[in-house]
Amino acid sequence: MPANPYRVADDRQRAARRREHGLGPRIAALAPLAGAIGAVWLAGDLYATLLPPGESSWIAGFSAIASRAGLVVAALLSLSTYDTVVRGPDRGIVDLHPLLPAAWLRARTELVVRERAWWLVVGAVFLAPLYPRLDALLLGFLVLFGGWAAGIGAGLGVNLVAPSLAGRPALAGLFDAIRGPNPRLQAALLYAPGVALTIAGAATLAASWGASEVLMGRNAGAVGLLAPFVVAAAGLALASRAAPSIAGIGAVLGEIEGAWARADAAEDAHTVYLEWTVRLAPASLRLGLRKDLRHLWRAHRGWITGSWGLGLLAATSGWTDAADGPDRLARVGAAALGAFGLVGVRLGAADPKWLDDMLPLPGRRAARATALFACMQVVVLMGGASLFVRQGVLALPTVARLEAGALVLAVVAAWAGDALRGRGGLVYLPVALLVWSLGGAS
Amino acid sequence: MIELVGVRKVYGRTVAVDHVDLTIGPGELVGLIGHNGAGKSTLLKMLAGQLLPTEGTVRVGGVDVRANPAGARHALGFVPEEPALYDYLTAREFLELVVSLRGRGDIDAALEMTGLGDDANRLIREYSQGMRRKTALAAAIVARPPVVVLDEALNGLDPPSAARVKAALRQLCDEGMTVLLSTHILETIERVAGRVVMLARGRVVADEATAAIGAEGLERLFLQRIAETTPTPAAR
Repeated sequence: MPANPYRVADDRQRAARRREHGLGPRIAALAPLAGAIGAVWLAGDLYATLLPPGESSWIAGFSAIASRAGLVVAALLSLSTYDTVVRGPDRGIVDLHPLLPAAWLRARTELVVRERAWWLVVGAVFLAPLYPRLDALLLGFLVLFGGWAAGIGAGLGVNLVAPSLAGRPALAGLFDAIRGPNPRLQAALLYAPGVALTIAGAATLAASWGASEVLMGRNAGAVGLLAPFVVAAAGLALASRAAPSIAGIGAVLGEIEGAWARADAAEDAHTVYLEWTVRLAPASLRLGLRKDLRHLWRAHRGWITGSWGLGLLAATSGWTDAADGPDRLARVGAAALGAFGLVGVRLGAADPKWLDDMLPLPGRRAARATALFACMQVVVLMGGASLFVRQGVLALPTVARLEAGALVLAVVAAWAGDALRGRGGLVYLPVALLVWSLGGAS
Repeated sequence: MIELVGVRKVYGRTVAVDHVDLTIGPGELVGLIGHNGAGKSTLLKMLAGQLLPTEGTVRVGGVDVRANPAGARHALGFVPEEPALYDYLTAREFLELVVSLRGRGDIDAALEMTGLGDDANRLIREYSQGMRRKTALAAAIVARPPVVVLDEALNGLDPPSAARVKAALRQLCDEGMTVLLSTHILETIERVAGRVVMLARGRVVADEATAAIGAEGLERLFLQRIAETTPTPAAR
């Protein structure tokens, strides 16, 4: 049987990178693990509240920990498969040459599994409070592994089917209803990661429920543990069927980009989100700030609209009279800010290095941090306003904590993306985890 | 061969390509020219299956690009303006991948034709822009597909490399390959193409044998046709 040419190319590239960069990237890859260990250590108090004494309360706490760890991993996997199979860095090459669909899908699945396996290790660290009890630890890891597998299966299946659905006339009405200002063809691609996440998340929750049932001695609950693996198998089967349509993805993406190019040209005269803040900035930052705000609005608009969603999430979290409301808002807000800050890393990774070298923009890191900080305000202010309405001035310390977190995250994201380019996440993610942990500390 | 029948590409109210009919037979080397925004890249992307026509039919090597995109890829070698390559493969390894995907090919011959032989075992990330273009060209021709399309593929090549590539294109045409070469360098068209097609505002405004145009005539013809198709201020 001839070797899979895509896998051979992947192996060769990996070997070449290893020869060129040595052990550095491997050591740097341990940073998220170190961050996770630090975060778990700092969140010890929070864990203690989740696992109170008493069997039924303890099992409820187990379910909270296992399901959250599983959901986070499922979300990361279902979203990252989109980047791998639809808009992957080799899209330009895959679109140019004849395609071997089955071999390509196998190679890409292996790539996702290999490159994302360490998330299982990071996720396992978050199961730390379960370590004293082996049966719970094993079941917790099964939930985590299930979320990971379901994320891959659902991500591959849904994201590969989406482009072939995008152009179907029968679905045009549906896509027109949900696409907002986006081109119709983009509607299916926009919602695919969300659908994959919903499916993988539901399967992970079923597994968490099943694990709790087993811990309570009801072995029929083991059926729930199987749910993520059924989803994973079904997703992979769906992906196999959809793989031949990969040849058409390039045309779908080309149509979307063509439509956006036209829309962007027409929009040039319109105001950019938060561009008014440039007037308030020091003169030395204005050029870079305007550039980054325009870039964020035009090239990364999903992140901007996503930040409004995160703001709503913070507002919902802050709408409470409960005594622990401020702490809850701090935790949710810090997580939302941490998630949004990733766009700063991506901005840095996408910047052409040669341009930065040849035409260095003074204060570009400070300008980027300012742009990110400005965009993060929607989370801080919506969450803070919501809590202020319910609890008055008691909200102010929480707002101050969130502002401090936003500042740290914006500065680190701007620095890491600019200094480390594609590897900025290795520094940013552990810092974001630490900020989240500190946000949860009373 | 390449066949475009009534091809139109519309983005909203913008007509990028307007009812283009064009047939290029086996063994022909045709130059495609036009001003910036004339619709050349849109046309080439439709040939490569990276865009679908709003109306009309695009066939490459007898294969309908819309109906059979996978088959059309086998019939076409495409060299985009920005070469798409794996930086951490050598040129030889990249060509091995392409040969595996196409099921056939002569790597040494492709390297020889493009003059990459001495550098074939270096990582592509170490290449100059010209060498990257030569690698993309080698990938397009390594399996000798019936049709090769080049989008500004000679930009950035030094004169000896450009001469070598031109000779290679002529040789491929002699072997029966259909070649469509898009470029802004009119001299290249005059030297290698047997026929020139000019696009302006999405339409074919000239389709002539280069021999009939004569020395220095291409530039004059180009400017004349552009002037004829550009609306006057009053017409706007």
